[in-house]
Amino acid sequence: MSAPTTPVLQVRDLVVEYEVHRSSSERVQAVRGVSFDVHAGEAVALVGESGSGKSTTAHAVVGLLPGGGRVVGGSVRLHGGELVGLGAKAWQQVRGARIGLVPQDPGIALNPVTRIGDQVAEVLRIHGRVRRAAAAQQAVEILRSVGLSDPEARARQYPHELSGGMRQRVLIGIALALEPALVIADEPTSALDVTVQRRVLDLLDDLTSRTGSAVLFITHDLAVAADRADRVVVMKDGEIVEQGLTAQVLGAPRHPYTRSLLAAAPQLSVRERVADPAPPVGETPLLDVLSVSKAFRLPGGRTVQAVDDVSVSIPRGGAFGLVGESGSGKSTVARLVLQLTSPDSGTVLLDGAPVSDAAGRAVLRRRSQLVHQNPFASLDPRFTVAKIIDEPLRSHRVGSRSQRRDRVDELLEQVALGAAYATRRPGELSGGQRQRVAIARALALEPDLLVLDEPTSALDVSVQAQILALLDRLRRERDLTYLFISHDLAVVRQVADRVGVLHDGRLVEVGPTADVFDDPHDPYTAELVGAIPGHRADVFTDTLERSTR
Amino acid sequence: MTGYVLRRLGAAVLVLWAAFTVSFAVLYLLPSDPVSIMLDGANPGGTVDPEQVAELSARYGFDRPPLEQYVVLLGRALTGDLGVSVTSGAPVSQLLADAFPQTLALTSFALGIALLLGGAIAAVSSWSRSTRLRGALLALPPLGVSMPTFWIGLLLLQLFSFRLPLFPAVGNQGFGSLVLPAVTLAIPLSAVIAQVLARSMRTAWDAPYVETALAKGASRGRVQWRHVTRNAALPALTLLGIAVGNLLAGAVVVETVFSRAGFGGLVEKAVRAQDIPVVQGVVVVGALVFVVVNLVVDLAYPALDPRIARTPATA
Repeated sequence: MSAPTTPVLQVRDLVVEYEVHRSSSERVQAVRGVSFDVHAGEAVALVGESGSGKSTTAHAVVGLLPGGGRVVGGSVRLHGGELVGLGAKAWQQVRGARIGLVPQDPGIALNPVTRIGDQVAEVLRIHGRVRRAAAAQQAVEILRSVGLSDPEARARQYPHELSGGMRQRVLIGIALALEPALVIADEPTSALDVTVQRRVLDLLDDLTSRTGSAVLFITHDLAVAADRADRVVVMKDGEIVEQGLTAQVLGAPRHPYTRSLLAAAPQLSVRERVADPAPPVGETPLLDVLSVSKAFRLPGGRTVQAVDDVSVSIPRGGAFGLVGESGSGKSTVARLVLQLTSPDSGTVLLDGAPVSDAAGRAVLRRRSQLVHQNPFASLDPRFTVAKIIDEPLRSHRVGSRSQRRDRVDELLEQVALGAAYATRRPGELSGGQRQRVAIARALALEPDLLVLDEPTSALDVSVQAQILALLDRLRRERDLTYLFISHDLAVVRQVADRVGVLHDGRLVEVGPTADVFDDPHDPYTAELVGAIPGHRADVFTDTLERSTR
Repeated sequence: MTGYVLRRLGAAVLVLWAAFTVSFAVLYLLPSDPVSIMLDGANPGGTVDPEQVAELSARYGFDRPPLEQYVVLLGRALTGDLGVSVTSGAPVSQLLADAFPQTLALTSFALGIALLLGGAIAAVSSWSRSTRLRGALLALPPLGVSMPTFWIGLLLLQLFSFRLPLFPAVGNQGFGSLVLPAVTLAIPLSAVIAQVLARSMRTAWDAPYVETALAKGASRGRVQWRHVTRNAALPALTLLGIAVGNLLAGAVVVETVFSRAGFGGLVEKAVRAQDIPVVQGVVVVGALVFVVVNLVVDLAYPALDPRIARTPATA
């Protein structure tokens, strides 16, 4: 790739400020002097964790900073033309035509009450001065070009009638409709399943190479950056800490922050961790799920078989990873294990005793706990941390008031927060700290079994790595048994000694983690493993390992 | 879709039946003698003639057991016969038919004004980027809600009828006489509409699909009109069904202030004279209007929001 004279995008010393509060004049700098280029035909990944300013930078480039944010310094040039300070009318001619945006969450980025075809046609109508009928016809062609089957029918449908992957294809079609010079993809696939993610990213690669558009990826996922970008720009606290060719930055990172990000990324650090050998089998398993099935009735009279004859057995001290994409039935399995819903057929045994009757359920409530996916929603915002952790103790009437207070402090120590956090409230904590509180709450009754439902999917990679390390330590120290549910195969590979792959409610493959990942027997498992991003990064991580050794 | 319509229709019939039954229970069955109330109302302070009482009781069926009375009255109501007025002797359905068009004209005109005014305040305040204009506009709804209807009416009369003789102060003659009462009635409703709509429009402006539209190169005006308004209309629509009930109640007050013939006058006279059949007729017609408006709202929902009735039909 030779460097042309003018880059497609040239960002120089960009500074973006936000108002801290509407009424006050206090301001905070979210982006502090950022400079980078994107050349024609190039894909650049802007990488960082939440709060790094990567998303703000991208929004400044399209002039769509949220209310209270503004560019206070520096320049953004598109093909040499300055964008900072453009008037509303001029911006309207840039957006959609010269810069396309692929938004983050396809689930909510389309207008729910407007037909798909009209939403695609809108971008043509705004810029092209085409007639309504011609725009509708062209919209159908665009839907065809992004690989949607039966595009005529899709054009007449509404967003809720399409899957997430299909919606993201529609949004890519909108962003690329007018063959813009630059496409900004803001975490384009973080809300999608891995297999869908790969297909959508392939489509984006394919279309941008056809239109010759340059791509600016915004991502927290280093593996995606490794696979898709020619160059990587690493951001932290509003500044660029390192940038360069992907192989250079990821293969031989110079900045310690880049190194720590790489170490935390589960896809890229797999080799550094050896999963514990499976504990001895032979005694009664702690959890025995015996061919459970569960069907749900849909509105309109149809039923869907959410879980179909699933059997899972976890020995005491084991960590079983249940993997599947959305709709695979993995969360229903968790609910069945915890008796939050009862199976149509099959039984669940805890320590050899059925959990379906009243006595079994009482035992189950004490000996098993759930750690929920979203630490922002699972903690009552009005409670203090101490009250949150104390709640299961109080409802099971464990100990006196002072004994319980000591226990709360002890639990906070165990999750590496410390007793000082007892008086805080969830709103004052970061995502990782909240998830630690949730884990402390789950451990309060000294359970044997923890059901972990996507416990790290809402967290940044470095925080995710810390939580996974914490879970690993707790399991060894306290002889806990884990049922670990996740869509993220790389995470499961890190924590689980055995893995089950769930597809359309059926368990298509079960086995020791290494066997399933290295030598999958079922074609679906093979597709799933193949879709894990970061394959291109293997080369880099090898060099990284050599350089750090 | 047909299932949805049938369920809504069934609910509407149920509400009507309940309104009839409750008003029957309250007016006829409470521990007081309806006949003497009627006689007293028709001839205050007069002596009660036992023969007249017996004759009236027989005519209205009060000598029958309550359940039988109820069934007979319900059967008649189903054929459109709501009895006769005690005071004037005219059929209740005739009285209602005479008063209703006046009130219908007033309330629908008021509804139109309220929608335009409230919609405009909400739309401009959410579209504008000037915080000063936005603040000024959003200060209006609380003001509108807090002013009592009769006071607004008197104020408007003072300004536009006495100081500036633009509109007639009283009466039912022509369109001009409709303006002041309709504006009076519309102001509190427009304030509520503006408040709810402005809030849901602000929420809609923060929605990711608005960013998608802006990223296409759409102007703020286009986004407001094409994307925000329709999404924000949904919560406001529910409010409208409830507001129409208040509009009817408000019409009673406003018609009294402006001395207009209509439901208000009818209700006032009937209540004062304790003319039970007329009062019940008014209650039933009020319920009918409420039910019809809410039925229209419910049926408009799937047309505005494809996520509602389509899902079961196509799934």
